[in-house]
Amino acid sequence: MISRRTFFSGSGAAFAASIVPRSGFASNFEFQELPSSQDARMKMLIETAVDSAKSAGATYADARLTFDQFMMIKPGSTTLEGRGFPPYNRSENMAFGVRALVNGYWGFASSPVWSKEEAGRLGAAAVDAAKANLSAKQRHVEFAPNPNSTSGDWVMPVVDDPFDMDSEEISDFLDGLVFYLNHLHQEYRRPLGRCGSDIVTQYNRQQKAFGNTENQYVTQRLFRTGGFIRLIYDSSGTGGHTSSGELKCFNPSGHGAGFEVIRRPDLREHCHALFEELVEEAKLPLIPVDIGKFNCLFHPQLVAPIAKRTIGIATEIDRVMGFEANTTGTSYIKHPNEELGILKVGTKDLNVTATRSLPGGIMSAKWDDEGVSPNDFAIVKEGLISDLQSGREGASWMKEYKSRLGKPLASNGCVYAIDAVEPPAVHTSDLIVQPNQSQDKSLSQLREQMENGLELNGGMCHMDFQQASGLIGNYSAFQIRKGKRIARYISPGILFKTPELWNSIMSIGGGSTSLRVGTFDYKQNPVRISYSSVDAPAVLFKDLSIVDPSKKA
Amino acid sequence: MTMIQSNDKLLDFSQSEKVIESVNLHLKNEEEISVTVNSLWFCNQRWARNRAFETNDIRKVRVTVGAMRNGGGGVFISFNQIDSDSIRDACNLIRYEMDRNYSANFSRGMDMKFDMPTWDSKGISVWEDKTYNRKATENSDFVRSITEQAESQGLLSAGSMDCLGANFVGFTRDPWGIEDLERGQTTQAECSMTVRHPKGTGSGWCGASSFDLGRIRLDELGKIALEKCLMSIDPVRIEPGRYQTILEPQATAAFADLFVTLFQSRTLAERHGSPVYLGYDSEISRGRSKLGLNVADRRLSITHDPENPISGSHIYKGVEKVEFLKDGVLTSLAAGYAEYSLAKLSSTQQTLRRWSYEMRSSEVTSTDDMISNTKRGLLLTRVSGVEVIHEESVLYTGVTRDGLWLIENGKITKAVRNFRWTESPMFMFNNVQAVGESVPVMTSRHQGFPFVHGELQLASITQIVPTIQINDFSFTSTVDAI
Repeated sequence: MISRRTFFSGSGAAFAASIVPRSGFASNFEFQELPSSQDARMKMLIETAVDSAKSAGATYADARLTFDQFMMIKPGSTTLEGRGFPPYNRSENMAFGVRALVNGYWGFASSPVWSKEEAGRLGAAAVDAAKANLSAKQRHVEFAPNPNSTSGDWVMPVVDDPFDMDSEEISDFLDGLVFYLNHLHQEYRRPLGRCGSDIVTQYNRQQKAFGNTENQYVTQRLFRTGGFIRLIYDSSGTGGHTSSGELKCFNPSGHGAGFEVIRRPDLREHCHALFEELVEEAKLPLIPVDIGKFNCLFHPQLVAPIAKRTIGIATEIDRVMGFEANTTGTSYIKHPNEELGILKVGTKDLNVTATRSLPGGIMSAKWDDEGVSPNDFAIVKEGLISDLQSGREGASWMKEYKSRLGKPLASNGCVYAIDAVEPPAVHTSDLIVQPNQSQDKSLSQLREQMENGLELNGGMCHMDFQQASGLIGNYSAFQIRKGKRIARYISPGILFKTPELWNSIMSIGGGSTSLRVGTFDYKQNPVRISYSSVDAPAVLFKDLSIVDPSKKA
Repeated sequence: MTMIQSNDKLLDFSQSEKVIESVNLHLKNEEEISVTVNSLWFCNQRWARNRAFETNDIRKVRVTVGAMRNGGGGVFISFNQIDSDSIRDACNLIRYEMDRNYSANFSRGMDMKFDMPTWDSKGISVWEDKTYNRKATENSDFVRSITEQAESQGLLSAGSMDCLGANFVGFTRDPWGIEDLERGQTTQAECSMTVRHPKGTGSGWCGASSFDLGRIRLDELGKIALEKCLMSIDPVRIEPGRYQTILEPQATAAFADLFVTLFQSRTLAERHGSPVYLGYDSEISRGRSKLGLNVADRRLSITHDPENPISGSHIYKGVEKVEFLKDGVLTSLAAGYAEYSLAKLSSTQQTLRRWSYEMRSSEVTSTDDMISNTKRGLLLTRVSGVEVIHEESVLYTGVTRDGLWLIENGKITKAVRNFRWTESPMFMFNNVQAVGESVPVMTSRHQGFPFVHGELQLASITQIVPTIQINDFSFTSTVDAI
């Protein structure tokens, strides 16, 4: 009969009080932190687990402890129907996961119980799980060394830790924002009609400890804060047609940041600008889609998800090698050793870097979930796929290519699990799509380059299961003539193939057009979720295929 | 209070009920509360490139406590440590947040007591010990035989074999002090695999799921996936357009799901924007749905039968079989508690069991006959990436996957490249050429616990659907993925 508190109280009550990540629910009052890597008993749990796995026959094992806290705070919303309730959601989740490698087979076991007994059980269970495959065909794993493995602590730098704040302070701020939006609603009632707003904010904090059979032990504290402010207006005044716009400075997938991403000093200016933007949009006539080939200017909110899918997810090495073939799919890249450095996916202007050291990036971390300190690396260099996102096992699948380059066999540090209850896997790091380095072209300068085309400021990217072709839809788009917006299109679509899209770049916007966008993705069996940030500039493309996605064949 | 035994895969009901008792005591002064205790065990074996590579054994627990006041919104807290201190802390936080937020005069404007359904929901059980007790080692031989078959043909197999067990205890206390306790337990087995050509020039898939592992014909799955892969190698590109298309049951299920969703809420169906909304009736001062009218091909019926062991979904004692669609006519709409009460529905109509269903036809045609009767058409294995294009017209897009063949003059003549499609289930199920025998298919898994608010969710649903031949299925572009 074991639980978190009984275990720790059994270990000595006085010390337990200082070590246990006491419930955040006792928060607002007395939250106590996850102990540092020097704390003997946290380390003891990890060591017990990996020792147990090792003595049961694992050639390698690692263990993770995670303590996740989540808060969703929404002010009393102002909707077209009136003021609503301020719902409040909060959760905390503790998890313990152990992974073991036996004769090339991985075994993973996890549970919510943090105890020495459970640590031992999980270590042995992970080995048992791996051994379940011993009668299957032999599998060879070349596990890349981790020569720079270090131990230590790392805390994602944030200004305002939302879990150290009184939730009332957050609510007060959001209520103030609602009053300000109400004021703007009145101000813009004439041009926009009835207005409402929807505000949701979400906060995540994770504290994790990791250790392995290579005597590495690290702890990290990570944050993800996001949400949205959506303005809804009824320009018809009858409820017949509503339109909406979202504040682009933060988004539901969030940022690797604290409350400062919500309480930003320029938030009111952003709100005001959004109203102005909606007024300008409302003045433009709505017209049906022109089918054909047109130059298209994509805002960063659209470039980011496309880059995530076509470059980020497509370069996850497990997908490339067919490990996700039965679930979310594979990739248009088929043979790493033959195609890396050769496969041309875009023009020379296309450069994409994977990073886990981006300040404010969701995937920022000092160590990945295999204890590797990730380095930034180019996935696309001057239009060529130049590397894949890998872990310590996957690195060996690029051995031949890396050897040709004279590079050592090493993980790119892309292994991640959203919490310790889920098995780790390769996930897309934060991405930076490099803006134009030679000239800082603004959005309006890019627009002025267009004689006849479309401008798209967001949208959904529906991809096939190899990220090879896609359909962009569900966004607001403008008709551009001679560098000016002259009309709004009703939901056009764009059909594209990945290399053709990025090879049709006419011009990339400068750093001033870049925006950080949070994105979400998952793998399956079991479901493994990940979020990551993409920094993307605006991009002007030549001759894309415009379709009406609502038209059938 | 200590709850979790290290060696228990799941909490037992009495442990969960102790948690509920404790919460109820801590929150005795709250006007309205809900508590759910979910427990889950998941074990799977994955293989890829003809080798088993990963076995997972995962256990989860989640307690969710909600409190509502003045009939309005509320505070919801969830956690996975179920010792006395955690429960106390969570309840303290709820009281703190309730006092802070709900001193204001919020009201939902529906200050009435719902007449709750009268069924006995004390024992939802879709359980099979063979599934729950399956050991990972038992899967090894199966994985070996599957991968050897693929390897001997020079192909690559990837797949997974999953077993899941879960249980749930839910408790509510309403503002009138009426308490209700629900229990549920379920198992789920799932096996699926994709066999691919190493050069990426062909792909075949097969999969199945059931609460009872014994009902999945594992040997057949491997053979079908392999055969489909071999048949699909080197597909040719043909023009997109409208084709008479035979959808195998797994493909039918994707569209049947979208279709059944339209019947899930009586309230929504009586509002403008719903495809089954008929119009405003001034005599009764409310919208009318298409209840009683024809919404699909006259051969199609959709039912939910809680006592059918194959569909084996929500075993609510005393809940009768529901027919959502009978001979193409919309005969019932699902309704939640509030809808049930407001609409004064009969016990037959009220239902919260919309996810498991059976689609059948009054006239059955074999797939062979469908093929031989096709002059020029397509045979489709499954679809993926289904996403909405236009909600009001129920228009969706997605891509075909893992086996698409051209039929010419009554024979399958060649494998064809995958398509992106744009189609509406409302159109499809009104343009039916022929319907085959209905069979259980693999259900789409979702993240998390199978029980949410006392309802058995997607992880354990069963869809029984037929092969169906549709006229003028709309393929809008070719895609490069194979």
